[in-house]
Amino acid sequence: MLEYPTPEVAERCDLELEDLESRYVRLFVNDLGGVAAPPYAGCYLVGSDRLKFMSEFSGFCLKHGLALDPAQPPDYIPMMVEVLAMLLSGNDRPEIPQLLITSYYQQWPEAFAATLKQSDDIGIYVTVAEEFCRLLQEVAEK
Amino acid sequence: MSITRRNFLKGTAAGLGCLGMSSIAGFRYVSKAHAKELAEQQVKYVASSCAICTNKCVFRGQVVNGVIRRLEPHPEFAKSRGMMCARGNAGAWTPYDPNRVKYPMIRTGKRGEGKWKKASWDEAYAYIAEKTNKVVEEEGGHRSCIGFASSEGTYHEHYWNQFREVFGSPNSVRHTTLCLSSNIRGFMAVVGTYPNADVINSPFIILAGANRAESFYTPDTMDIFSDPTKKVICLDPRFTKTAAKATKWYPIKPGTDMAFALAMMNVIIGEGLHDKAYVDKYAYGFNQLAQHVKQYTPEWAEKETDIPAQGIRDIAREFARTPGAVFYPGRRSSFQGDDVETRRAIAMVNVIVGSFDRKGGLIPNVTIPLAKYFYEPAWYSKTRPRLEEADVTFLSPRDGSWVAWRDRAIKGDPYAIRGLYIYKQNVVASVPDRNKTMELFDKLDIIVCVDTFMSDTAWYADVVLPESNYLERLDPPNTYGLNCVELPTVTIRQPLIQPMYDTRSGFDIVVGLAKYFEDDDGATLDEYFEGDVESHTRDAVAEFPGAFETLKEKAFFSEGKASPIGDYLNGKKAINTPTKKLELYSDDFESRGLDPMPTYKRPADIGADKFRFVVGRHAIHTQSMTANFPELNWHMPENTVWINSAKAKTMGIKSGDMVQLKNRTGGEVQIKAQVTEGIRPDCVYYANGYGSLSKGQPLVYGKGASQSQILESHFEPISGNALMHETIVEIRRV
Repeated sequence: MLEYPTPEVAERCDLELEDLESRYVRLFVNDLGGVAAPPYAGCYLVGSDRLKFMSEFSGFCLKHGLALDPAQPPDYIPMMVEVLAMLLSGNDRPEIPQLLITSYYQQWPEAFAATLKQSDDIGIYVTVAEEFCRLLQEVAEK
Repeated sequence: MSITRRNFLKGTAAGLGCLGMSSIAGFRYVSKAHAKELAEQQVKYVASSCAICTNKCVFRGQVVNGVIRRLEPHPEFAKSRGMMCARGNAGAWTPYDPNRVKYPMIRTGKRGEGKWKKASWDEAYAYIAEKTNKVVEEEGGHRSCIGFASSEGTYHEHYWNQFREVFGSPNSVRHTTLCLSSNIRGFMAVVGTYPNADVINSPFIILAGANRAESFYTPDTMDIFSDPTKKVICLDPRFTKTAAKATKWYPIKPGTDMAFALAMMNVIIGEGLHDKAYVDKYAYGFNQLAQHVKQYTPEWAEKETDIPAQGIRDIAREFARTPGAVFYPGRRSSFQGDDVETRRAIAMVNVIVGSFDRKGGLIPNVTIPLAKYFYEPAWYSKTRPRLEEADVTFLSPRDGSWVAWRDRAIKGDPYAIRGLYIYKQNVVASVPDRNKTMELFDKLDIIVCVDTFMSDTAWYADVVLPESNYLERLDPPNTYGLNCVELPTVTIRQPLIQPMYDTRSGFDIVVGLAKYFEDDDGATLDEYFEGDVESHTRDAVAEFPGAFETLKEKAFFSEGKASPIGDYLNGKKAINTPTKKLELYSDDFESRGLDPMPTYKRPADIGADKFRFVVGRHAIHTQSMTANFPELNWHMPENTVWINSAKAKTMGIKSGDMVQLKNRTGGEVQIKAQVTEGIRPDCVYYANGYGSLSKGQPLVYGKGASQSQILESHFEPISGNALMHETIVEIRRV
């Protein structure tokens, strides 16, 4: 979803790889005026303490037997997506994904998608983010 | 594109990774928790030491579920006495800053354009080595064509210096000549060391420009100002927070601190208030000094300093009559042309009243002796002296002289500099005259920058190598003495969490880079590096049983013995000057063609309607390092230029007006005005850290103005220190 561009992705986007790399870096790594769309959920939580959000999310995961990659902040969005997928795939306790979504997947997915809409001029990342929002809604409705 | 729940699950597994990190097939970042991770669920505390300012206060970091939540003061650490300042607390957030440098980056656009690609460490090293080896070859094999810059305060800097030495370049420039090298040289010349002021025990303290209330937030700073029995005299062109807290503030004319010190000695010696027995026994050259200062009367000094003669007389008398009075050595005063001589004069004021090596006075720095980190030197057949060798009388081989070196490098005089390797020094923002620094950058074939954030300097580099944050890495021990602590102490830093992203410690960065270079015998330079940071730490404290274990547990170690005071006076230690006395007259200076005693030279007239630009600390930030920290930036989103209210009125300038400052060498900035009575009419000031060129520092990019853009390029030829108060500006409303 937010992985570093490969030649294949660049070709699909009809861009030179170096150009796509530069755009990716500006969006997610280091950008003019600051990272345009930080791929960290806590950056989109208005009025919340990001450190608290991360430690509680990490604690939730550990409580349910999941360890997060320590090379990323716990609110790294691709990692949070994996956590959701992991817990959705375990059908023995269907209330857990609901609890997860209610507690940790509110507010930021839409804000992240909205930010990408402003800054992702290629469009591939905003599409994925919007689809993720839609999926969350689908899961929540079930 | 449309994602269903079914293909989301499939796609996540297939599309998000499959890189083999996880024990769960198809997942890159998530794995099954084992006992180790489950243990992380608990709250744990890790002791380490701060890196936000020079004090290195020890704290206990609270880590909850693997996330740093806060940094609490270590209750047993003597220096901080249960206190952790706001700047230190703000550090907890830094590892999670979305704008930190996360991966090695190679520039793909023009310098400063902001086009980068993420690289592996090997790619970045290979790129650096190829460019560097090419220019070294073009320079006939002279490795001196590569310069190295670094900043103090980061313990891994030792390894950076080691890399430079084994690489074979003499051209090292450090933070010191942008800060306190003139101060060190001045005090060294008189008392043989750079001492600390025993501010806890001193009842009478003179602070000339040293802004303790806005630089060091440690309990001893509070002691200075909270004890109603202490008298504090503050000399500063600006009404700083130190001035506000002082017993008396004198808005001294910049560059005249020496006149004040000489007049104090005129009074003290003239009225026979000096400590005769002390001077007879420990000082050299008193009679010459007594003759010399006769010319510097308080009435004369009043005209120079704008401090009333009676005020100088009163201060001098009370200073001499108060046991334990100290004229604080400070880190900064005026930073003008004769700065070393000014510091000598201040040191001499202390000596004539018997303040050196006595309680309350100037206390020599005593540290716990750590075993030296030893490494083999590399020998090269082609060597050249460092670039600015002829420019400075007392040139430190490791510190160099930043401004002198940079100005010669621009001219290629006496030889070309083709590359610059920079370790955590924001040279674009901190070296005076940013236009010149950029001119140098334009001439360089390769610029490498190691940093944790995309500083202005990193922004203009060709390759940026990301160092792990100070809360993620093990730093070798640092030993420090009475610098605000009664107990000599050794501290370390150790990781609260694992390094995030693709970052490395300073040691690992240089060892990795060293593998890509060879010495004259064909050996790769990494062979000069042995062990690791933990083994170096263990070796450093090996003479002290249990010290290593204590460091791991508490992040500090002390022998529990207070520093002895008086060892230099009772003969246990020799005073480290050529005469082994406290030198009020320097034969050494005289033999080098310098003034044997401080001789006052009036600062040049700045001219009508012009202003002297003064620098100085401010309470919110540690120079340019923290201006982009959200928790601190919130308190001060941009800097403003202080202009005296009476002067501003005549110029039609109001607070909030945008004004242009222009110096004499083409530097100009635009910045909002802050009209205040808290600055002399002939001076202006704004804080450091703003007006960033780097768009990777979003909170300070384009906000306010940068000091380095307006500071002119001057240095002091005895110590090589940059002269921060020799910049004259014109102001107009935009």
